[in-house]
Amino acid sequence: MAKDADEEALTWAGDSDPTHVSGKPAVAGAAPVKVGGGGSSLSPVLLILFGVIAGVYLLYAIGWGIDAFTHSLPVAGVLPQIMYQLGEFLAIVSPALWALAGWVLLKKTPFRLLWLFVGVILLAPWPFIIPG
Amino acid sequence: MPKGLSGKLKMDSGKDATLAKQTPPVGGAESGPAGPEIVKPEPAKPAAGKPSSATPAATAVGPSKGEPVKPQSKKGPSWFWWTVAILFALLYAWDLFEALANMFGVSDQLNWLNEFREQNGLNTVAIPWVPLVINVALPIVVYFLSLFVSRKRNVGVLAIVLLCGLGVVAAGSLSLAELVGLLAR
Repeated sequence: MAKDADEEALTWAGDSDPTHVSGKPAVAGAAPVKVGGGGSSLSPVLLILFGVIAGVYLLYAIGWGIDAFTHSLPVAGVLPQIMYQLGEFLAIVSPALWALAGWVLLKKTPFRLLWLFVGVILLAPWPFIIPG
Repeated sequence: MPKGLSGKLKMDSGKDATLAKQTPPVGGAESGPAGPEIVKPEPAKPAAGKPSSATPAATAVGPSKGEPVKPQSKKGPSWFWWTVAILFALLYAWDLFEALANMFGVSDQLNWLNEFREQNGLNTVAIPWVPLVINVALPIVVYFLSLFVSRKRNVGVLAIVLLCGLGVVAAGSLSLAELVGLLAR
């Protein structure tokens, strides 16, 4: 009993806690504790690609916005003007909507990447790139 | 629970009449010697010769052979899904109307301009039919493609996809209008 008391005096309480940094794991074959809990991690190349595409989409939105605010309305009448401006607004947010739809519809990363590349081709603001 | 249910079904099929007499209909497993006798018929279940789908439990639970499950999988989209689709169809119809008006307006204007150019000895300009027709087809194709893509999804996904399609149609129409303007110079 006296020996146990001495050993107890030389140890810290909670030393056997597996979450403790210096503590021994309770079970030898236990899985390591996941930090973050995300589960899926992207490679750095994919992260850079997604970042580049996000930047391109942001530039597209800015391009559509500049085109919409620098051109006068080519239609007459209240309803056509409202609908034309709605179309311009939808063109501005179309890159974000495209990315959102791809995120909702597709689950695999290669397909999402392909979807975003198709969006880069489809949603280019040609009236801003080639001003008439 | 499934064991007790299958034991009961066995008794209902009338295969072992003595067993049905000895055991009470419900909760017979705890009644001493009758317990093992209920468990006994279970290994003989495949030897009964009846297919598993013949039992009522199998038809209710089995997703592959159960008949009541099939009508649920064939059930189409809800009325709310169709309501959202029709409301978005109005916006797509406006885009189609704009594209048609654009096509007829541009062709009329270019015809008038070409007459004027011919009278003054200038070169005529061809009507850019390809971008004009693509502009007309764009809302139709995108709308039905959106419906096809989200036919088995819920209303939220349908709304997102249709809204995305409207954005694509808007961006495409503005780009095609710019292209028509460049070609008609």
